[in-house]
Amino acid sequence: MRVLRLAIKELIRRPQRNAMLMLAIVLSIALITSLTIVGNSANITILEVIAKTGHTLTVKPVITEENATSLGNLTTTEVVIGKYIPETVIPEIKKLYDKAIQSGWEKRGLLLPSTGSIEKEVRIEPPTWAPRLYEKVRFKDKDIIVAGVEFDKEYFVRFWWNLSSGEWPTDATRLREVQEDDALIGGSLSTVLGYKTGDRITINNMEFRILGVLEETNSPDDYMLFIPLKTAQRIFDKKGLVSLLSVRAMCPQCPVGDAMIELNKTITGITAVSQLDVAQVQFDFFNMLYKFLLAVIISTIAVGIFSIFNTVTGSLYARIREIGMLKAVGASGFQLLRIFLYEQLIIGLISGFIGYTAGIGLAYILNSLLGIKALIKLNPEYFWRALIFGVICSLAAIIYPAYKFSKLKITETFRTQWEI
Amino acid sequence: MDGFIRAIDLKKVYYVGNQKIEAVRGVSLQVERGDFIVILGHSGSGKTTLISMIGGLTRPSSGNVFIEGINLWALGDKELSLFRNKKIGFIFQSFSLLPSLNVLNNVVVPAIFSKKAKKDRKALQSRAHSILSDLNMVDKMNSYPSELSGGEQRRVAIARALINDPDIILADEPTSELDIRTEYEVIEIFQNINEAYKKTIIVVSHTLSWAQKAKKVIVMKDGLIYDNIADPVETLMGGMSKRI
Repeated sequence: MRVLRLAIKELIRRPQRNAMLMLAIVLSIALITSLTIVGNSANITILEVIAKTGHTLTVKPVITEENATSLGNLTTTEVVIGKYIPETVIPEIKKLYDKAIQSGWEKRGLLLPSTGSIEKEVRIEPPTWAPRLYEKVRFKDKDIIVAGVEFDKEYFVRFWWNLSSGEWPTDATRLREVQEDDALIGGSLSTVLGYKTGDRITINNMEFRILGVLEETNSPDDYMLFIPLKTAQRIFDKKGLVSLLSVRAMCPQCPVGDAMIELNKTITGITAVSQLDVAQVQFDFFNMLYKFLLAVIISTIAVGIFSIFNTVTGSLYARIREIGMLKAVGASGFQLLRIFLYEQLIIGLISGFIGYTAGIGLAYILNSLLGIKALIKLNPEYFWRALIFGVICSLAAIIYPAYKFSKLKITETFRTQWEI
Repeated sequence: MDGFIRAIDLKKVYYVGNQKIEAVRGVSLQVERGDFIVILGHSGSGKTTLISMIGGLTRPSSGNVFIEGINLWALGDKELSLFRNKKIGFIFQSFSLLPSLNVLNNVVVPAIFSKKAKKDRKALQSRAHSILSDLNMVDKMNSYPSELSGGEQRRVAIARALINDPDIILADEPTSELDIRTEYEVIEIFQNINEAYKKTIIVVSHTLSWAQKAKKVIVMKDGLIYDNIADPVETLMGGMSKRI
């Protein structure tokens, strides 16, 4: 028999009380773990968007929520059907964009070479403009989105695109000329329709050859069939019209936000959105929400610790005679303190483990409810944090009563027993 | 004075609110090695306070306790705990067994806190087995306190007091709440411990049955002791026994 074993035996003796003690800690840890995991997933999702889109601006017709499009289990306002931007407006948009970027640089004093600060000089590369035309068509009893694109431009703007099979209609080398019947298919659509590289697909009486299947990107692109823009404008009778313009600034610090403001202010009927700014706002919002919820949970934990403190104190009072007996047979105050601390340490460790497991489960549920796309990453650090947090909560609740009870005089514990 | 245990002018004063209670009012006592002493007295006579002070459980208001020449109350908390653990076996009025442990583990509890016993676990188990065997409790070794009768629980408490092989056994009302037959069994056990294990025993009781078996009887009344008296029973009863 050792002090640790004595502590374990004491724990086993009071399963219900200990379960109640653990419940408070388990709930706290589960909430914190799930919140951390969900917060991280959300941030990863946003950061992925930032990494993917970089300084990309999208210009589309002004829409309302009613224009939202359903793609599989995804509803998006990014894909607008039935509203268009005339190609005649595009030169004006480009002009405004270039002007805004240039004046943005000048405002920051970064464009003109300044003496003694050569590192401040910036070369502006021309941006890449990638127009798209979206149309919804009925195919094998399913609504699918056909996107007319300029493949050579898309190749630059959607630089995160990868093929799971097949080849690009064109690439940076432009060695291959895009054919009017070339097509790429999104990963999800390929699965849903059962079409793969080399298959032929007929849209509006025109047969297309699927050159490649795109890897899934967790974006509306997964549900689309991509064909050349000119072909799309012809077969859908939308000559001179586009649904979306994506502009990728070719410098990392380009003041795209300035261009967005300028475009929205000057041209009516269009809306320009800087993906980076949107993602940044989302990122900041999630971080703020995370901090707020963390503060709420920590306040709840403080109350929980107080409640555990009361339960533990009551439990030690119930054991007062045993404590007196242990002291009488030679247990020092420190040895008694060790017994109490071991008990709470075990409670803390078990609570940490259960809380961590429950937290992961909760995180999966929350991720699914909130529609967060990033996969849950199980960081070993969370596990250790949960254990340490469980132990700290548990010990924080007992340290004072344990110290007091370990210092009790034997006669105080035996007052009802050893008569005067 | 060469006594094995020497209590010198022990006093204990309690305060309940503003009321001063003199539980022990200047008691001096000498106990030799191997003695079997019974302190008889009514409830509130101060006998438990006296044995607590001798055993290092209650600090006296004044006076000293020497055991083998060591001034008990000059020791620090840790040293006193170790001293109690090594030198004194306690048997309490209520059995104070740990309900979560079986008989064997209850017996070895004091050894958890002893450095010597920690080193040799097998020897400890063997010793516990031997003591339980002497007390006819081997077959109950794996039972839990709730499964034992009052007499059996008392025997476990006795075995626990003996596990660290202390020189002194202090027992406070070890036969309270027992039927007459079990009471005599327990008294016999104490007599055997005194003779076979050569332990110095001090028992506090208000039961006269002990007087017949003890080597020395001390009567305590109003915080004072009366020893070397011709008729302890009569002293205790205050003349009532003659009338009875």
